Amino acid sequence: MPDPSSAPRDHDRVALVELVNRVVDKGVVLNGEITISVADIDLLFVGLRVLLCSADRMTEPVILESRASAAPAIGGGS
Amino acid sequence: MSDVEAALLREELEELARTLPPRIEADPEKLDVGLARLVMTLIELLRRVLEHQAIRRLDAGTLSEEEEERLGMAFLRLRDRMLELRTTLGLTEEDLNLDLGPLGRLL
Amino acid sequence: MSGRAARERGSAVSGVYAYCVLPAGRHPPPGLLGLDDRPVVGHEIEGLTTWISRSESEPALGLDAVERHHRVVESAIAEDVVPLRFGAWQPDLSALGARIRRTRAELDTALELVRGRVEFGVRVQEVAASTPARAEPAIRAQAEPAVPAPSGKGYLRALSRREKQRAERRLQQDGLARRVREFLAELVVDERVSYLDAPEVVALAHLVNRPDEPYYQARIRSLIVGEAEGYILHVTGPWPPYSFAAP
Repeated sequence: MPDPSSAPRDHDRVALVELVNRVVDKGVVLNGEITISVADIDLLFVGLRVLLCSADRMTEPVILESRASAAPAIGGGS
Repeated sequence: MSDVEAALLREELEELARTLPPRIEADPEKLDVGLARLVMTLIELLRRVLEHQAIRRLDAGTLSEEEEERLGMAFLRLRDRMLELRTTLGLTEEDLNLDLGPLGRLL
Repeated sequence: MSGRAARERGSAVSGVYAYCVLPAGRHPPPGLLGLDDRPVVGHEIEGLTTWISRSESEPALGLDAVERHHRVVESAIAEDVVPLRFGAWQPDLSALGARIRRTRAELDTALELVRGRVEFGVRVQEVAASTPARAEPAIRAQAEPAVPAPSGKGYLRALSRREKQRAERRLQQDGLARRVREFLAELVVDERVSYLDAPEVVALAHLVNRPDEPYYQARIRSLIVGEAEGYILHVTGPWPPYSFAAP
């Protein structure tokens, strides 16, 4: 069976992706700039995804952390 | 199956419509770009709806081979024309280059 | 107002950045720092508390700012909280007040929905490609079908095939979301589904009653361990209920 804890890097990336997808409203970002031409909305999407894939910031996996233990810490504030 | 296809088309069009700003910038320097975007978006919306309709006709089997060929070629030409328009309306690479600050330039 | 006069006054910045909205009287823990390391305070407006910090201008979108924003919202997770998305900046408190009043109905609805609840995220990925999604080439959306020589018929038929594939994929995505949801049954109060590109499938946001948190975690864990059909589930949370802040 696939075991989530065997792929820590995957989970760090997922935690970061999940974080950004929650905090950032893509609709707001996309409509923010009047000089973007029509087709390039897709570039921005890709831009965000490229960022997320290349970010090598290690974050703690936020998997099933109960409230009683450590709060899910996203990023080291470095 | 066609309910899902209709839902997918609707989502696609909504996403396209969302790319339009709520207000067209009145700044003279930006005015042309704003209108160009509006025009491009409307044509693109239409193009997608038309393609969707054509596919339904194709699937329903109500097109002759000759009609299929003509329709398909028309859409291919429309697609190329859109590409030309984008250049003609002066939507340049610079317009494509989005500065995300710390997130870096895209291009 | 000159810089020196402002400093003498002791408060130079009128702009406010908002992180989240809570019921009246729910203030941030002392010492909580927001963007630009500025103190976060609770601002009461007509029966609601908005957590804010001062900011000269709308903050630029960046990973550090996003993480800081989340760290502030996270501090409210033990409360009933309506998280705001990144970028809620107003030139001054009265503009903020106007904004709150304008969206009051939505805020009340959201507060009611998230009362006593937290959010969990379930991200479903296909096992075959369990490596992180590669960055895709620049223009992805309208990937036109490749045709060897310009042929109207060929193009139309390729379009039709693409439509069918998309519809099948959507059915697969919906089916998976439904299966996860049904497996969790009464533990899920509400759900938001996001459709993802391959090799990912869907991202689910589940609203869960606080007392059910351990049961949700146990049950979703058993789903992960028991899953044999080629999917990996990445579960994150609990989150403040970001995905349920708007209708």
